[in-house]
Amino acid sequence: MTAGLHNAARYTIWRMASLVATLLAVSAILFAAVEWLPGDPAQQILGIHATPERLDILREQLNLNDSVPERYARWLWSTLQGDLGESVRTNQPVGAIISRPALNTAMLAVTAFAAITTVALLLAAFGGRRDGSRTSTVISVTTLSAVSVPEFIIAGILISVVGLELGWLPAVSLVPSDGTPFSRPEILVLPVVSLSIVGGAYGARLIRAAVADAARRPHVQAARLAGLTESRVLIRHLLPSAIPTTVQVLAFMVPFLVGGAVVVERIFAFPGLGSQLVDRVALRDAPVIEAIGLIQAAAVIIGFQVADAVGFFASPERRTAE
Amino acid sequence: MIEVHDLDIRGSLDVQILGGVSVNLETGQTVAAVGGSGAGKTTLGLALLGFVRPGMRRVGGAVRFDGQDMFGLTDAELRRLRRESIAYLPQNPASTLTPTMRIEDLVEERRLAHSKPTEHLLELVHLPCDRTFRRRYPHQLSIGQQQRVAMARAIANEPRLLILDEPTSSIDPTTQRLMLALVERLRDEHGAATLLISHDLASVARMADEVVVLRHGEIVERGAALRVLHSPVDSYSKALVSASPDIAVDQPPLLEDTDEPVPVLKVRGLSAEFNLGRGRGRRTIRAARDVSFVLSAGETLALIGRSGSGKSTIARALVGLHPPEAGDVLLDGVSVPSLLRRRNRSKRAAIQLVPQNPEESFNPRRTVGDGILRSIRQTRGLSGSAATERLAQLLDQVQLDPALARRRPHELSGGEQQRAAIARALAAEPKVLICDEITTALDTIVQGQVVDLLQQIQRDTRISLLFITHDLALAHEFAHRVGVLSEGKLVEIASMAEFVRDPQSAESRELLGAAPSLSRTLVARQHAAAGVPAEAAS
Repeated sequence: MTAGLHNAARYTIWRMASLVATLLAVSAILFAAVEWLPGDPAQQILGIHATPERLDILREQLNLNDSVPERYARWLWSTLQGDLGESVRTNQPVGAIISRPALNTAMLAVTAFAAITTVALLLAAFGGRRDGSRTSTVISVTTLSAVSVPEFIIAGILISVVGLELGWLPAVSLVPSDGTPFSRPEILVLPVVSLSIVGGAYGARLIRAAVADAARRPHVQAARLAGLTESRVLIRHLLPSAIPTTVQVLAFMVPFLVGGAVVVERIFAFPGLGSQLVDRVALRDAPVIEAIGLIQAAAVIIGFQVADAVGFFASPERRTAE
Repeated sequence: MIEVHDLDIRGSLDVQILGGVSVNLETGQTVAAVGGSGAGKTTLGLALLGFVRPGMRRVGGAVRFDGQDMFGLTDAELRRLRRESIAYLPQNPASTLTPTMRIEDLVEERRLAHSKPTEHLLELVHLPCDRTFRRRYPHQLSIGQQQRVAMARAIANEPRLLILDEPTSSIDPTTQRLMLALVERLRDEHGAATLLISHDLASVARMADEVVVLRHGEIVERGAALRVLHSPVDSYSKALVSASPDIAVDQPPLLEDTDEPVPVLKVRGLSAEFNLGRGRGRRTIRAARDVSFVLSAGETLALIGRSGSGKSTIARALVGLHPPEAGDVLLDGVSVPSLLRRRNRSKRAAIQLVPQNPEESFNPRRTVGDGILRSIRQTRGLSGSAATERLAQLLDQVQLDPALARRRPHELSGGEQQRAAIARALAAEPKVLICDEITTALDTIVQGQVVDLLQQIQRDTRISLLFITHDLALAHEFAHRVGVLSEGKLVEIASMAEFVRDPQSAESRELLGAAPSLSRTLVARQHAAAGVPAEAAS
């Protein structure tokens, strides 16, 4: 017991430290990447007809003449203090620009994550517990087809059939200016369904493999031959072995939903973080790009850290190691 | 009570797994199913649970439990029967424990209303029953303790039918005795019937009332255990009985060298450790402690010890796969670097290993012939037709059909895989061949063939063999000398004849006592039947 607690405490502290270290590394890479975007920001802002004098003044204002490490240090310091800076295009504070899209994306992502988890787990449990059965084959084929169709086609079909033809749900997901997506939940349905078909099928396939792997282990056969009920075999003997893989797969859904949802956001005209990022990259608006990148990276890293932690606590062998 | 009637089970491509098998088990009776691997023994055992493995199907026959056809039951009825009346212990009992469950939950879930409390069940299998122990997970127990937990699970429902699949192959002597006692208790107190699946004829002779001999899924002989094992009629049964290693049968004297022994391999003060677990949770196990021995040309030295005694670590250290903490290895008087990558080609070639699991040691996507050719190229530098010619020679030497060398490893039987692995080692023309538990996965008849092959190669080439095994009776058949390992220490080293006559250490006596002897067991049972006290019999 004490060994277990001790391990858990040590594990948590270690994880926290590595989380901070990873975020720092990501922030440096992100800053460098934006720095290396082709073209001169001042030129882009002022257009090709700008005079050299005006360009020099703007470069001075943007601190572009300082060295990269210097500017990184300054940016990091103010970011740590909660100041994300101002847009170089509109001079609005970055926080104000990204807070609404971030909230919108968070609501879409949380809803879609819940849907994906449900779909993936159910399909995986039924498809994996008896490998080679008819259910298993049907699930395998269906999920493979779902994975192979690009999101924009699925979304397009949903829009034209459910949105336009039948008119059951809005075809575009515009968020009211005085509300959140949750104040008009119907706008979330089609984006969430599109994301869950692709993400859920992808997750189901990977988790199904882990479940099928666990189902082949001798202790699962032994549990069945001991006459235990199928639900007990599933819940106590089979699924726990699949937890570490399952949470890793689900963690992969975080980058898919936070960054990769841009296609779906665009199709449904959903004002999320992904769309915002694409717009700002086109504008070469470095402070906004860096802020969005950092938020996405943080979400992804936290997702994987949580998955690692769940995997750790779900495995007695690791938790109780002396 | 149990009636297997004309059971017919087929595998893929309609291959016969069991054909027309009929067996009856009465209350309190123990029936043993013996035979080589692939004889269908495990399939028969599982059929008694109403279970046919995926990929196989039952095409005919019935299994009746108290007159009910088990294959005609609904899922719920079958589950109930398995839960209340049957216990099954497969070949590797520890593998039946779910790693994510605590010991108490594992035992508890098999208990019925009338069962003994979990604490009592743990006591019965000689395990601690305090709360700390009960709340442990399987991986926190030794392998022997895990096997006992599996046994506690099996007896928790006080079964009327026990199915034991190769119970002695992975279990140490003390646990074997405990299991035997539990089986007898279930039989005497609850009239349990037992199906014993085994290729260890000595343990069959000790436990069984009746024996059925299976070959390719058919029963070739059946009868009272003592009669079948003492005077088998069928030719296959005869082969099985005569292939069964027996520590009590004196071996014909091995060809002794008239010359002075020429030392080939000298091991001095070898100590090796390995780490269990990873990261900060790892533990260091001292697997070899100051081990020294000499191996002469044309000699076979058997290294004997139970699992965890350090046998495999020594083998790996000798071939350079495990860096030792101390000690050195001399080949023909010249020191050999301890790491494989520091050894030159001739030193690499000189010490070769035949691994425990030959299938895993071949690339599954290449033919075994390719695997042997690779060794020929790398150790002897041959290529083209010279290499192909050498391959043909090697296959001839290990008596492996050249057609089989064009197959991939999983398409060969266990014995064929082992011959291929021996050929691959011989390709290097080694002076020392280290065989690490190479017979463990083979049945007795094939075991005997592999051992014969090794002896013949040794006669032809005067190669030195280090034969690592836990099977003393088998080593007794052909090793010149024997070394006994206990917790990494070499506690005794002596000529085989001397060792059997007069063992020097407690560990040696324990191993000798537990070594199977069909002849001795048969005599003891005949005496018991005739009313002679056991002491007088032995």
